[in-house]
Order: sequence, then C-alpha cells, then structure tokens
Amino acid sequence: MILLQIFWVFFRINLLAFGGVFGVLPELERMIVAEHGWISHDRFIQSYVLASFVPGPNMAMCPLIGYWVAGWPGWVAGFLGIYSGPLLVIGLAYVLYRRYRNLQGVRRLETALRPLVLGLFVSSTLQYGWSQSTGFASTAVEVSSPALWRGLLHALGLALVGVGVFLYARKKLGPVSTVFAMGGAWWALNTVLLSLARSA
Amino acid sequence: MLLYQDAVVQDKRWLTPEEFQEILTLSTVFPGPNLVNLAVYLGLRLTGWTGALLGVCLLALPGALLLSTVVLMLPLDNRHVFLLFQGFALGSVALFGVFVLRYFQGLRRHRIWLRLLAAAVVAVASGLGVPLPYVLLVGGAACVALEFLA
Repeated sequence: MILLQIFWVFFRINLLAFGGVFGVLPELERMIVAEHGWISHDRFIQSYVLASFVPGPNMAMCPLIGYWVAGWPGWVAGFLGIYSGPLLVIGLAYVLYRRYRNLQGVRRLETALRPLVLGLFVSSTLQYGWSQSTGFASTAVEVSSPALWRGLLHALGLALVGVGVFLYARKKLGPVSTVFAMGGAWWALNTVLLSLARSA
Repeated sequence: MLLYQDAVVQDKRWLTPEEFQEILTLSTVFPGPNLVNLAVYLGLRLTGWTGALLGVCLLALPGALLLSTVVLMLPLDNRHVFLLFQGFALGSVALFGVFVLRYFQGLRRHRIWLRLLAAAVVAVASGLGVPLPYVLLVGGAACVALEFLA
C-alpha cells in the first residue's frame, strides 16, 4: 500500500511538471512533507541538493525519498513512479505527432505556455531562496532573541543568492564552483554569526 | 542538454539538427523532466519501446544509485554538514535564478506586459498555495488564449 502511494505521488507530479521539475518542487514537497508527513522539509531540500551533484536528471531524489520512506522496495517504487510518466506521456505524444506532424502548432503551444512556466519558476525560486536561508536558527542552538537572528539570516541568505546570481551570470564562476563557493560562504558566515550570537 | 546534442547529432549522426530541434521542442511542451522526455523520444524514434526503456534506465539509474549510497554515508544531521548543504541549496537557487532570467529574456516581445502579468498571477497564486492542477489548468488556458487570440 505504501509502495503504491509512493509510486502514485511521483507519477502524479510528472503530469504536472511543465517546463521541467523545478517549477513543481513546492507541490512535490507539499505532497511528501505536509500531506503524507514522510520526511522533514530539511531532508527534502537535502535530497534535492544532493541530487544536483550526481550525473543524470535531478529527479534522482525521488528514489532516494522512496528509500527513506520504505527501504529498497520504496526506492524501486520511487524510481518507477518518476520515470514511467515520461514513458507514457512521450510515448503518446510520439504516436500522435507521427500521425499529425504539425511542428508549427507544437512550437506555438510551447511559446504560448512560457508565461505559465516562468510564473512557476519565479515562485519556486523565491520559496526556496526563503526557506533555505534559515541558517543556524533552524539547528538546535540556544541564542537570545532568535526572531531577530532569523530575520538577519534570511536577509543575508537572499543577499548571498544575489551575489551568486551575479557571479554566475557574469561568468566569474562556473556552475559547480558557484554552488561550492556558496556552500562554504554560508557555512563560514553562519559559524561566525553563531559565535557572535552566543557571546551576545 | 548540449552534451546530448553533440553526441546524437555530431558524433553518431543519428539525427539531423532539425530533427533534434523538433524533439527538443516536443520534450519541453510535454510535462516531465526534459532530459528524460528527450531520452524517451529519442529511444522511440531510433529503436522503439526497447530503446526508450533502455534510454531512461541508462540515463537515470547510475545517478540514482550513486545518490542513495552517498546519502547513506553522510551525517546529514550534523550542524556543519547541515549548514554546508543549506549553502549548496542557496547556490542551486542562484543557478536557477540565472536560468529564470534567461527564460524571461526568451519570452516573445509582442504584448510582453500581458505575458508578464500572466506570469505574475501564476507566481502569486502558486505562492499563496492554490493547488497546482488549478493553476496549470486556468493559467495554461489563459496563456493559450493570449497567444492564439492575439
């Protein structure tokens, strides 16, 4: 039963994922974290981050989530769930397209849907930028006035994202070095701030 | 995506550049991870269902297995590891931000304000927690109407 549920969650998210999967991450998280309570928000993000380091599609996170929920059978259910969607959808599209071959129409449809995809992308980016800038405030430490520190960390985290966007867009850093540099910078920033917070 | 194109079009000469462009358009219009869609379509086009199945497995299995083994060995609850990974996550948000900027530049200029308004409404609606199927249905219909009625 749980295996079917895992399969169904990932299969369903596929059918909603226009323009790639990043746009539907909040929805996937809602289903997995809020609806089913399978894993925590932090675990969810960690699985996404780790998946972007391994070769292949980022959706490598789905079998992993399946594994956390139900062991290796869950892994298989997650794998089948996330990857059987494209097989079916594209299979159908392939058959239809072979028959009615109208690339002009398809291309126009793609252009037409761009505002929708852009909207989803913007909302995901903002939601993740916000939810990932909690820093040490979300780990178990005792500081005075935690609300103040949390606000400061959000502001610093979003500023750091801005710096990262600038560095990568201007080609000062490659994609992998941007991610690693920001990881290091965020850790260092938080370590310094935490010692300040404790001594304050 | 670029590596894929080089391998299929230039090295193996399985497809012409036009055919590749076609497949790319199709795999972005339909829902699902684009790279996987591309692999399925390519497999079907070249060898049928066996090719499609093989393509997906070869594309996805190594990464998925590697990821799961790595994660089992990482102390994710350690504070330093946690902060490092949160920084990595901010990094991938930044990369995606750049991608979103480029995507924005690819919008058609004709009646751009209407398109931006549609994008903003979609962003706010999904940010406020309107269920995604409704957002896609209503937003998609509005976008298509915007394009084909104009």
